[in-house]
Amino acid sequence: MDMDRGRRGGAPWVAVVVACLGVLAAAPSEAGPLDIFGLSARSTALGGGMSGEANDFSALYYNMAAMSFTEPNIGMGILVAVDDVNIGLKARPPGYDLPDRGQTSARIPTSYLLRPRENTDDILNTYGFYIGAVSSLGIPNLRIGGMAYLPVNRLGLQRTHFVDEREQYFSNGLDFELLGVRTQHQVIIVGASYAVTEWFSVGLGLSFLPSTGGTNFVYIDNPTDQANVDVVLNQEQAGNVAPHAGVMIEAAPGVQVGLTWRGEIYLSVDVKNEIQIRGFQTNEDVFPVLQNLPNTLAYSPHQLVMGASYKAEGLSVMGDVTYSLWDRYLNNQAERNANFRNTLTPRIGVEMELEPWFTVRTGIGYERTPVPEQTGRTNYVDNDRLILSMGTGHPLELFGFPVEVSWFVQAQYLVPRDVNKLPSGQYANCEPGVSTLCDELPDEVVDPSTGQPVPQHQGLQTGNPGFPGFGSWGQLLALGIDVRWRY
Amino acid sequence: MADAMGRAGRRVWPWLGLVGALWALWGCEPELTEPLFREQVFADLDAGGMDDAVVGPVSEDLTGTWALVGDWSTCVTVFGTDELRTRYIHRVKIVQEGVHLHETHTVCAAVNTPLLGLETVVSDAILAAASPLEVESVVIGTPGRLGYDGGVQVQLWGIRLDDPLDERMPLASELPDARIYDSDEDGHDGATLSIGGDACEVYIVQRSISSVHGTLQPDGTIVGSGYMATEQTVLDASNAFCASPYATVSNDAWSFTRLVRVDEDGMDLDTDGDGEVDCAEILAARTSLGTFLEPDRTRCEDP
Repeated sequence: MDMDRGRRGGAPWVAVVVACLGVLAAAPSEAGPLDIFGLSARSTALGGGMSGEANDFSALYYNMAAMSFTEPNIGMGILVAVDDVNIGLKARPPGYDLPDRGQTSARIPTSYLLRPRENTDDILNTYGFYIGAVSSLGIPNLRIGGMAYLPVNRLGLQRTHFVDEREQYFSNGLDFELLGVRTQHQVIIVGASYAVTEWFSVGLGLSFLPSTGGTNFVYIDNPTDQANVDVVLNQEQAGNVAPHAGVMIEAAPGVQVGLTWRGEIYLSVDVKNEIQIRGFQTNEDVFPVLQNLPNTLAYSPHQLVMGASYKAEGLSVMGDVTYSLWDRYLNNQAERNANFRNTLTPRIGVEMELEPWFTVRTGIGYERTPVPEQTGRTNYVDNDRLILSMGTGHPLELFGFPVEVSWFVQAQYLVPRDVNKLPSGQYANCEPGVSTLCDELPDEVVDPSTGQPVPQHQGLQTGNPGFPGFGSWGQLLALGIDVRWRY
Repeated sequence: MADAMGRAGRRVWPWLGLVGALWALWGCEPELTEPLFREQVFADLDAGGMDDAVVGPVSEDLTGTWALVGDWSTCVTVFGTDELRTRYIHRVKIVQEGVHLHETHTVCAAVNTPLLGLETVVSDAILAAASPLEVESVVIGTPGRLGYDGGVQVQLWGIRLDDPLDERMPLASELPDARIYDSDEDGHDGATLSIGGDACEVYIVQRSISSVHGTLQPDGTIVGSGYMATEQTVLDASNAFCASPYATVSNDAWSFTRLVRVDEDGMDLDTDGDGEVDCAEILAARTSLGTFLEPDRTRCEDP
């Protein structure tokens, strides 16, 4: 390893500026889009198995310690991802709708739902710009770096959903749990690495994540006129960080081994409301009404990544395996009860220098879904994904500087999934803690006017959009190009 | 240079082809399996209902067992004004002596429509404690044009009054009051009303005074209207939210009553064959006894 490289770093201000972006960021920034598509044209073309090889600013995401094995560099590029993904809802057989019993209906009848139950045939496209830099600040053995991924069509998106029968009152459909909204965020990472020896380096970094919280104040003068309420907002955005750490070892000439830990991170929006209702002022139990509405978005789990690379004449092979601790998953309602399973994701890539000005790259990966079979109450939608990618790199000289232009194309195939809710004959009432398919209208409730059970409440009634089943399938296509300058 | 580009191109195309082939799946839709649920059918769902109501032949001797169905309108102001509809079903045993009707009422059910989404439930124990009611009514007219003029009914919940009609009810500021008792024997003085399922309980004493009137119809029923006035004092509540005061105004223009004969000379609801028609048998046939109006706040715009 060239220990003098750090002394040649000449543009530390870029890394500092990028790092400052992280401090100033006011929107969610976590690794969601990078988890799904990767970072930098070279790394993505190679399948993303880069924890043992990343040789540019993408090391900030893949392995902080790898910065010590790369020359100072600056890069920027764009990422576009479009989709043809689908969630098809199976037809509901007659007899399960929530009946219309006028104002005595125990639930809003199915026929009155604001939105029809509909398939999902699109998720949000991703349009992003990224910039990153690695510098030495003139200190031997040290590298610092910063990168920012910025959606170009929005600063961020906060959109939640329910994964059970409650969603009938909102979209009345299903949504991909780990795609779509999860890619619509900024990602800002800063870090540093230090070469302890010529063959061993350590890296440490942070990804920034604002959290929003506070208590809004609401006054209701007339509770029968809910269209007119007085609200004073009081929300604070505080900074949160998640650690990134890595080590990198040059085990033999041309052989590198890397280990990375990316900490759990998510965006939390803790909304609290203090509501005063005129007329209840003498009642301290309900004056004021206090609401606590926790939300979690864009969850990324703890990830432990082990990778290696081998570089010979004109050929590089690299790969890694990511162990993701999805069993700690927090859903949009900040509930940690999704029963997700931990996953192992292998990725491998090959790079060949065909000509001094032309390098071809390809990669493959297979990402197992953490979502178990959804035969009960919940409708978490996610699929295994087969990821194929390729691209090329073109070193050239621009205005006397060594520059490389790279591009990639990546296709992700969502392995089709077919979900059927399981009949059981006995259905628990839909209450907190119930995970099996549940009955929104319990049979045992007696109509006081007749003294008899309500006939329409017999059996199972559910407005769960995922009932009686659904399928999910499709493809993602990502394209990108970037330019990288080593200085 | 051209040769080099050609070589490079030949090596790249296979990979591009692989990615392209994967993407060629665009628009393909897998065939999903059939769901495991089949149509759910309710055997009893269409039984009964007013369209199928069967009412017995006309009998101008009114002695027998009847069901009194009352659909009372009250305008309640809790911030805004809404209509509350209270549905009573009484079992009425009538002994006719000339134009006089000696009636013994048993209150079988009292159901309130939800107000601001909360339904007030009256327990069977309260209704049992309020029964029986002795009422003296009269029938006036000629055969074929018979009018019914019901006597005053006084229904007391959670309180005993020596003079149920005239004695003054206690105010909240005058508690405790020795006349108040635990009428439903649940450990709380007065009558316990459950509001909004398990949301809260409110403990009250109440007097409702009502009378009904109507005319005998060709189908043997007596259809009419009535007057009702209610006095209520809140003693306590499990949740202070439910103890909040509200104003009520009787809305008699939208109150309706119906007397339906249910013994063997009418609908013959004696399903257990014991010679009596009891509350359970009447309630089981509730959908055949009459329809109820749904609340409509516009009826309270000028009650």
